[in-house]
Amino acid sequence: MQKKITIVVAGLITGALAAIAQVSFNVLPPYAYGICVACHARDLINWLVNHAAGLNLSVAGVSVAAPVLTVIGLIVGAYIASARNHEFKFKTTKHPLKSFIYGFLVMVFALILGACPLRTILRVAYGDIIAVVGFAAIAVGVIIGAGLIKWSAQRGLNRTGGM
Amino acid sequence: MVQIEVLLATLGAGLIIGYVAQRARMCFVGGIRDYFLVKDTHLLKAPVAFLIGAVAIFGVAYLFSSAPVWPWAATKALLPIPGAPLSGAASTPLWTNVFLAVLGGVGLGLFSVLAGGCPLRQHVMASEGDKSSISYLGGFYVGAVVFTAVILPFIIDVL
Repeated sequence: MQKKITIVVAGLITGALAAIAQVSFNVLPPYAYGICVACHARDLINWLVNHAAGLNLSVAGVSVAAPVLTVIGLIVGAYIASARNHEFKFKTTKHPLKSFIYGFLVMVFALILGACPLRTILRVAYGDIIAVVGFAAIAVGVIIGAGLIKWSAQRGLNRTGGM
Repeated sequence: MVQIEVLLATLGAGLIIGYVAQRARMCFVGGIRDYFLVKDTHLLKAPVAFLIGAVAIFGVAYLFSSAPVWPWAATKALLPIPGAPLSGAASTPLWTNVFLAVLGGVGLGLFSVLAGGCPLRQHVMASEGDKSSISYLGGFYVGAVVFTAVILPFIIDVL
């Protein structure tokens, strides 16, 4: 029986690895780039498109010669974790287009901010004041979204007579 | 020049983070959502622990002077760490950087919570076989190419 990985341990490991990637393994420039789920995904896909189609889409400095492979690691690591614990199972969806559009929009806004939520906190840890503003903005966006979810759930309840 | 250490470090860090994120169901927007909706602080511990872990490593590295510009604001004041459009240039006005951080942050938070999790959580759920998250990743990667090819030049043009 393996020991349970708590949320605190997972957070500590992730934050520490993000910083170690920079200070010990030269994952830069830019600074505070040890992890970014959006930017690293952008680097990988743009690098592949550039090499396949002869384009010149921009990537971060560290990814010019060869792209960072974080997102491949994430997918394989999470797959190993779910398969080992018998949690891998194909789940269908009724709204694949909706998910596609959400994914598209999240990437666009993340690249406007220049960070996913993880890199936003990594930038805060590195001492970037603008990232503090960015994190506050993420919190505001989440609260607006959560408010919308709550509102539409309550409306649904009212319509079905409290059921 | 290809830096093998960078490839191995990012792949390795990704593997470990993907593994622990799946086991702990870690999500960086779920915490704010749950706290707002039901005052549940469980998932909120992840970003706090992440911050502590990263500051600890940067602090130690600073003592051994391998993180020379840490803390960033001490030498660069309100200049953001590059990554966002126009943020790499010292001549970019402060309000432009703040505007992009607010616009990007609010949009990122809003659509992440509607999608049901932050980009990390979506990668993890896709790896668990969730077809909704697999569709999300399709949009996510198409979004990166469209942003770089179309939206980024537009932003640079307008601002």
